[in-house]
Amino acid sequence: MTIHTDYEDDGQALVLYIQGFFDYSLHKEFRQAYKGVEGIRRYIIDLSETEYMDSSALGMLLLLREFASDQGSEVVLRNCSREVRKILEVANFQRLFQIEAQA
Amino acid sequence: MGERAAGGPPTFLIVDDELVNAMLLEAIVGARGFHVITAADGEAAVARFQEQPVDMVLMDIMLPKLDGYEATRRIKAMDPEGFVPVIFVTAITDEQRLAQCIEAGGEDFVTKPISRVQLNAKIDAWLRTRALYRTVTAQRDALGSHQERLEREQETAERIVARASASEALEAPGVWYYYRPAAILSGDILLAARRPTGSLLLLIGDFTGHGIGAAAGVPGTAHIFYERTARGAHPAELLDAINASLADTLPADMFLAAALVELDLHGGRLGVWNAGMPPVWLIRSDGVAATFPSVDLPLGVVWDGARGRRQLAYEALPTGAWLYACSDGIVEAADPEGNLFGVAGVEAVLTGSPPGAGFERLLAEVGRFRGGQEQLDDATLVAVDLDRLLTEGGLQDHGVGMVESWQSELVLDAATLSHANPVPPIINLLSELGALEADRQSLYLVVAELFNNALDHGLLQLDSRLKYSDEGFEAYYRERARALASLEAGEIRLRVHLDGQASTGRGVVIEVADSGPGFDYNAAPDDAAGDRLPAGRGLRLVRALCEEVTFFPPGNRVRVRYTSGGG
Repeated sequence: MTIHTDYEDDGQALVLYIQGFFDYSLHKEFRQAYKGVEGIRRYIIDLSETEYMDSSALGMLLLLREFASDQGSEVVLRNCSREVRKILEVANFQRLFQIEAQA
Repeated sequence: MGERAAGGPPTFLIVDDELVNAMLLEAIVGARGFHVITAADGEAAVARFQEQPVDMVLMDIMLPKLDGYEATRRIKAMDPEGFVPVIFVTAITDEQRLAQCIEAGGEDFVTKPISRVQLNAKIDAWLRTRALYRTVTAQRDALGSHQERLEREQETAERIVARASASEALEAPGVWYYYRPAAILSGDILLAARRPTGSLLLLIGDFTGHGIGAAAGVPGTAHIFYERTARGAHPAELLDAINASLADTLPADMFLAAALVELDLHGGRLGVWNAGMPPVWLIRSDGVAATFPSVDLPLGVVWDGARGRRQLAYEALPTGAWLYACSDGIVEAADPEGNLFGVAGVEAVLTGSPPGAGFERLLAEVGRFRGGQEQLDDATLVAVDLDRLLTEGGLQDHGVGMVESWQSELVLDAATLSHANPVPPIINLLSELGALEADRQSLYLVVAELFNNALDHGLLQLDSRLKYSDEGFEAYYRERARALASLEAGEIRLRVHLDGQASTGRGVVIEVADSGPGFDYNAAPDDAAGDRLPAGRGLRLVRALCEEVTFFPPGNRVRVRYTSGGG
């Protein structure tokens, strides 16, 4: 599995760890990872093990954001490497997401 | 002589000059079904013994020509290893002379008149002793030749391992190493090679166990290491390849704990990936500059979930620093009470020594600590004087300095496009041939976007607005897979040109052309509102990351220029 999940904050935060290539080949797995999980206040995308991401990954993040805001929840991008952070900033994602740099 | 082929009844040599006595003995022995030969004097006895195999001798003392003592001495001298028991049969009762029988080399004696029961009992006892002796001798001989064969085989294996793992790069100035197996063959592995970029790669590892079993994994691992490194593989890819090979070929209980170190002197940084080895240390005169502990599962334990997962942790290269890495054999050296030297012990010696003295001092301290105890595990230690390697390491002859300009073109036809993704190999090529690590992600995105645009919209004519909803996102990729599978004609050309002489930094020109009808590039959306849409972002990202983006009519060819550190 290139995506694995975990819970934080007594089950109110869902963490998705994305390994390797974050691109369209993950879209099913990515969607399944957050759909159908109840009572989540924060969706945390952990990018510490992400090698590369392309624009379809950004598209998937936006779909998650839409899904989360329908439920009144937020999306946090965590442990971005400098390179990934640069891509997110070029796409102006800091306006849409809370972005946390590498721990 | 004196030896009898296995099987068949034992042969007795009966020596007596009196015919009646000889006949009596022959009758007793013959009744048991044993084979009998006779001699009437000492000389004849020695001659008979020489002529044919004999299992036991019944010897008279008083004999013509040569007495029984002397005949026995000669028989024993002829066959010192054979162990043919000699039992004296004599009328003499003088204890002194009986004792002489044993001194002459005889095993036992019986006195006349002969008691059939007593003689048979002695014969049986000595036949049993002889059988036992022969079994032990045969086992000793078998063990000896087995040992000899094992040693020969170990020496052959040792030569194979030594040949496979010999690292010329270990002889670089500034590199010190110590490599001491516990048996002839070591399960420790120490490999070094230069990447085409000039970086020095060091692999220090420890296969489970030691001796011949542990060494079995060494040649294959060394082969992959040298071959992939020479071909310019990224260290992460190299580790994946070794892992896959070991997971494939080794039994489940065998694996390789390893640390891979990349000394990227041009890039001014050092990377370490450590899985199951003692920490790798960077030491300066003021103490520990950095430690790289084990962060991953050893190689060969599991099949990989994701490629490229094994990433080296990089640090800027400090000046005046030494790198130290060792195997368990150093950290777990034990004193006579069984206490271990320990990671803390190693660190104390390294930080307590002047820079550069740590290598010798650590080996001396570990030796003293062991206090004459045998070394139980293979032990390896490597130290690198980074300043010296940088100044004398001959790096100017390698890699980046020499990469000034190159270009490569890839033409993919419909059949290839349906199952191959050219983006990862292109990125590997770029990073091996001079593109900076810091640009990898951005270059990946640029190449991937341009390629996907050419494929999705140029050739497959898909509409990315489909991706605006969750369902649409899936529908889009379903449609893409369907269209790709039925793609029969068309091609995509990818041209990559690295210009190492660009005055403002290293430039990469990427050109992608497809055989589709083209699109209206002037109408491509470029407004901030598009940021919130899940699609149509690719091209705007490319524009943001690249210095120049040029489309050529009729809109099926695009050329971009990416500058290192740009965007």
